[in-house]
Parts: sequence; C-alpha cells; structure tokens
Amino acid sequence: MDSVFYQIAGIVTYGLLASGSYILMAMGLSLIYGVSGVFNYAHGSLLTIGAYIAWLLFALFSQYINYMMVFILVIPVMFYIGVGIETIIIRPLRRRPNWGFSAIIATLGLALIIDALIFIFFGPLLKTLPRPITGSIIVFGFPLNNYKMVILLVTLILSISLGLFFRRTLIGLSMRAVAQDGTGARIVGIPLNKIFGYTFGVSSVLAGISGIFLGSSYNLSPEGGWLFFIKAFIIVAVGGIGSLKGAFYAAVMLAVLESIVSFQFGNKWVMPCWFLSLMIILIFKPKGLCGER
Amino acid sequence: MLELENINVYYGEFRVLKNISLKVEPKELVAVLGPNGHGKSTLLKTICGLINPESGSIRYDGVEISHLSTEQITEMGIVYIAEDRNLFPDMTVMENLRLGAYNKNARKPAIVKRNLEFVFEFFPRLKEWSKRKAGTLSGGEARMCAIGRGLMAAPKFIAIDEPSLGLAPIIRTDVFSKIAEINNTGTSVLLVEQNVVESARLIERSYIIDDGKIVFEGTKDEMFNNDHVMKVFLGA
Repeated sequence: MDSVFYQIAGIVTYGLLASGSYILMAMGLSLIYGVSGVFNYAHGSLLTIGAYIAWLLFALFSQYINYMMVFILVIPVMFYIGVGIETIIIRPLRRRPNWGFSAIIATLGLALIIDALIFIFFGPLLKTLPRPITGSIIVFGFPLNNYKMVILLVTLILSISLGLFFRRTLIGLSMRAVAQDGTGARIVGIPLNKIFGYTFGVSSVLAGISGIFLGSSYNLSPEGGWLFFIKAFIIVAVGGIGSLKGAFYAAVMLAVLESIVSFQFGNKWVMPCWFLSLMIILIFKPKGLCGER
Repeated sequence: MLELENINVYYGEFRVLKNISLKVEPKELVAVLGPNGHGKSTLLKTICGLINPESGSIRYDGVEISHLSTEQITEMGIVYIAEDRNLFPDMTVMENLRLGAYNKNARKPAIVKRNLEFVFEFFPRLKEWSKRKAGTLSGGEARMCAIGRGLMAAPKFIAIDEPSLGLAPIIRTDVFSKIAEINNTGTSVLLVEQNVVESARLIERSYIIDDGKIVFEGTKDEMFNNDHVMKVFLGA
C-alpha cells in the first residue's frame, strides 16, 4: 500500500517538475490570441529560435558565457523578433477582410521559413545545450531533479511577474484592455498597433525562454518546435484560448498526465491521451477550463 | 472650439453623414437630436477619430483634426463616451478608471491622483465599487463608470452618446444633472440624445439630424416653438 502511494506521489511530482517549460510556452501562445486575435502557428518555431540563439552563444563564447548572460541577450532579441513579426507580417493583413484566416496562413508560412532558415544555417544534426545544473536531491524517498526544480522556480517567478505586469503597469493593463474591448481601448487613446507589437514581443520572449529550457532538457533540431507547438496548442485549448490562468493550470495538469501516462503505458501514448483529455474537457466545457469566449 | 464643416462619412457605398456643419463654443452644451439610425452616433465617432470622414474638415481650437487618430485626438482633450460604454468587463472599476487616464497628458501619477479624487467626489459610488469587475455593474452603474473613465482623461471637450439609454427614469435624471455639472466646470459638451423632453433643461442649443443631414439648428426656445420640428423629428 505504502509503496503504491509513494509511486503515485513520485510520478505526480515528476510531472509537476516538468510543467515549467510548458507553462511559459502555453502562456505565450494564449497571450497573443487573447490580445490580438491571432493564432500564431509560428510559436513553435519561435521556441526553436530561442534555443538555437542560446546554442550559438554557447558555441561562440563557450568559456565566457553562462545562462544568465544568455537570457539577458536572448530576451531583447526575442522581443524585437516578435515586434517585427507583428509589424511586418500581421499588421498589413489586419486591414483586410477575413484577416484572421490570412494571419493563420501567414504565421504558418513564417514557421516553415524559420525552420528552413535554421536548417540552412545550423544543419540537420541534433544539437545539445549544456545542462548547467545536474544531479538530484532525495526528498521523502523521491529523487527531485535539481535542474527541473530550477526551471520550475524560474517559471513560477516569471508567472508571478507576468501577473504583476498585467495588473500594475500601464502597458500590461492596456494589453488586457485591448483583449477585452478593442473599441473601448481606442476610445481611451490606447494605440492598438503598438500594443499588438508589444504583445507579440512578450509572447516571443516567453517562447524563447521555454525554448531554451526545453532545448537543454531534450535536443535541438530545426523542426523540433512543432511537437511543442502542438503541445502548447492542446494546453491552450484545454485551459481556454486567450486565458493565461487557464494556460497555467492546464500546463500543470497535462504535465502530470504526461508523467502518469508515460510511466504506465509508455511515451508513445502521451499525445493520444492529451488529445483524449482535450476532447473530454471540450465536451463538458466547450470554452476550456477558464475560457470566456 | 470645435467646428465641423461639410463633413461626409460613408459606410461603404452608403453616405451616412451628408455635408454636416456644426459648431460648439467653449463651455457650451450642444445637443444633437433626432431619430435613431440617422447618423448621430457616427457624428461623434467621426469627431473622436474612430471613423475618418471622406471629405470636409473638423477643427479643434483652430487645428485640423479630421485625419488624426483617436489616440492623438484624446491627447488634445477630446473625450468620447460611447453609447454601449465599451468598458473593460474583466477589469475592476479602478483599472477602468486608470486606463481612462491613458493619454500622455493625463497619465502622470500626480494628475491621475487628482483626477481620481475628482471622479470619486463626483460619483461617490464609484469609490465603493472600485474593486468590482466592470462586467458586474448594472446599466446605470456602468454608465457612471464610463463617464468617470472619460473624466479621468481631464477632457476639455466631451462627446457623449445617448447617456440615458436603457436607464430607469430616476437614474436618467441623475445622469443628466451630472452632465450639467460637468458642463458647469467649464467643459464643453456635445450631447447626442433621443430623449428630448428629459434632456431639455440641459440644452442651450441644438441640432437635429435626419437622414444624415442637419435639418434644424437653433436655441432651445426656437426648437420648442417650432411645431414642425417637434412633430416631425422629435415625435413630441
């Protein structure tokens, strides 16, 4: 009896620890949709970009650089990549009828282009990012992976900061305002285009950070972002598209589910089970756990 | 203060506003009356830059503003309070008010604080509701919140669309007297209304728009003494 309990607790803990990177990437995907109405198919490729930039920095300056410096460089780069995507690709579409569908096609095309460029510059071979922290500590008989704990901690800190950003800063409040009533936002003088740009920027930063976390847990490949895009897509749909809170809870839930499924039935059953749980949740809550629209 | 000259606005092929010319002097309260669906709301949206006119000019303190964005127009002190209020439903009343002060001239912390005190003095109930989500407010409460949000921008000119729509009679009177008070503080008001009788005591001068054209312009007395206007356009 005791051993079964310990086993279950261990599996759940493992899942909780793995949820860190999922939370960030899913919040990024949900944020863009919530504020600007664009479903960004290039989100997975933004993850890949973040990871490859980190790889490049380590490859070029291996002795002089650490993860802290990598993040300090990657965050602004990802932000401006996001702003650039919004300004150059999405904004011109917005003035046209049926622009939502055009935006899907455009971001899908962008994803393919990014993947191709990464393939051309970095080649098809798998790359690895260094693992800065190794080992694990044993708590109540469970081995807790140190690196995953650090990732989860950073994720929680970032999630709380994001919450404060949306409640306390004028830009954060404006993003929520644009998401809730675009006309109302224009009436009070919020420049929509600028806010859309910032939103893509913040979302890309979240993608880049989770890309680095995932890249250092798995391997980097030019098309590696797609699996995580699909995962982020399911998480966001479960949580309620456009909802950050929903993305957070759904990421934790699905990470635990992943851990249980892969332990009981093997890794190959993880994605089918994710889809199954998505379908079940959508039957009972068609708008997802925290969805409003 | 605000002067429109031969403004034409189209929705696609359809001309909604036809050669509208209109004037609001400083500190004046001017009403735009007339049946629904004849371009009154479009007129206000055009002034605040949500819609751009096809031709004609809008001058505010002598500056041409017809090609400017809402963002720029808000900065100049023109505030639009919409008929459907356009509050941010998932945000608290306080957050809604704070965003009312988005424009560069109103967002400095000291100015936000001062305007917030003014708004709370003006609508004491808003202070009580400050932590409530705007989406949970009733029609009258939401109207007050929308007016409060408009005042947070420290406007010199308010364009307000159908403030009495959907409100109970007692609350309607309340809202009208608040608008009179705002006007008494020296803010010019352009008021779009259907409810001629109840808003009558507010009005100094009015325009009547029918089918996108101005069909009457005059003082309150001129309007009430004009049987034709009262019968045909105002149904009174």
